[in-house]
Amino acid sequence: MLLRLLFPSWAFFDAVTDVPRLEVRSWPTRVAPDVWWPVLTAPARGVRHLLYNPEGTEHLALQALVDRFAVECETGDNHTVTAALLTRLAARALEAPDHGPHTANRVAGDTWSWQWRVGAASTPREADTVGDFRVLYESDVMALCPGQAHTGPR
Amino acid sequence: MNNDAVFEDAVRMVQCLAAVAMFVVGLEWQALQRRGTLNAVWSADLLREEWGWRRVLMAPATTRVIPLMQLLLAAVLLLAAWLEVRPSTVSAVAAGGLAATLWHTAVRVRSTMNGGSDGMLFVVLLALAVATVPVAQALRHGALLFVAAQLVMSYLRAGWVKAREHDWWTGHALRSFLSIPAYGVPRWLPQAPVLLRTASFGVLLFELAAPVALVSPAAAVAYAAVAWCFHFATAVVFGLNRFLLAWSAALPSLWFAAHLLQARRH
Repeated sequence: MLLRLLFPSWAFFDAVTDVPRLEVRSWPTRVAPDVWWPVLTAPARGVRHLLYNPEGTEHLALQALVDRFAVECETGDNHTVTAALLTRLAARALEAPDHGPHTANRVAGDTWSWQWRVGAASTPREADTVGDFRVLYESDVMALCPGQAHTGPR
Repeated sequence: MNNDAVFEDAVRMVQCLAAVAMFVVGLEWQALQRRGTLNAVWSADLLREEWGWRRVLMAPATTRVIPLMQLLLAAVLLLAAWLEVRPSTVSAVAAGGLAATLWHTAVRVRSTMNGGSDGMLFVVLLALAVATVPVAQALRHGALLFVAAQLVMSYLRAGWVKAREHDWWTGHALRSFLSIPAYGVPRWLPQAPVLLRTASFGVLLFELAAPVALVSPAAAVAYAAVAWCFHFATAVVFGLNRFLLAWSAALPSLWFAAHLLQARRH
């Protein structure tokens, strides 16, 4: 870590590559799985964020974690720890009050399932076009218990 | 001005700007600990094994103290620069301590928190720790020259890897980077192809021209001014505020390096 800090690579913004994205979905177990939605969205910025931007710093750190996982998946490196960290991140996103389309429709007594995945989204070369999404990893389906989502896979 | 006077002025500027940068880093870390996401995700129970001997340093109590240490040491660094104490063991300890807090955060989150900006701040702080301590003058000068060398390398390497990509010459690469959702690029930013091509060419020219800054002190000042505008623009467009702070702290080293090189030539 010391050497990485003292001699960074400095190869900023070189080639255009696919951008890793963490997605999550949750659904009542009795119905079909819901659509995937992205966990990380860039926070809004104002003038003060030119100097002080904790939300942006957090967002970049979390995105770097997703990037690292994508690299580990593609190179075949051991990604057990990173996967566990991403499970925490995805579970935490599910705890947010506005986390997904089904949140407001919860029925008492329903059991819920959830799942996360990481994919690589290609950056479109032309304006107003949509890039492809290639799935790199899909987690096991986990049971979602109220207040216990953060405990990870069981 | 003789070399020593220029050196002392440059160190003082680097010290003030590094203190401001670390003050912001400390405030941000404090805010992030309050938000709780980072500690919840990079949970100690998942990482304890990976930390090995460092687990004592990564204890939650230590992590909580880091932002306060950063604020305190940044204030000491700023005060020492203000009082112009040279050479100063106090400044050296403060700068070294701040560098150690950056290392701590990097180990805590298994990587840099904010990419290359953490690296540049670490380089600046470690060099300051040497440049302000009462040791041989050559060693102190060498520390600041190391910052200047890393600074020039940061532009030159970034420019070189871009120049090898055809997409950077056509503007396509910049357009693609601007479309990455993670950066939250403002919607008001004009993205006409001719503008993107011009901006891409400007970035390549600016980054590859970094060694020109070492030709003379005037060239160093002019290059530093353009560089600051470049980092300001990346902070506005990509939200990279810490890059603006870190590179601002490193830029005065260019002036000293150019001055020293000019003195050697004459």
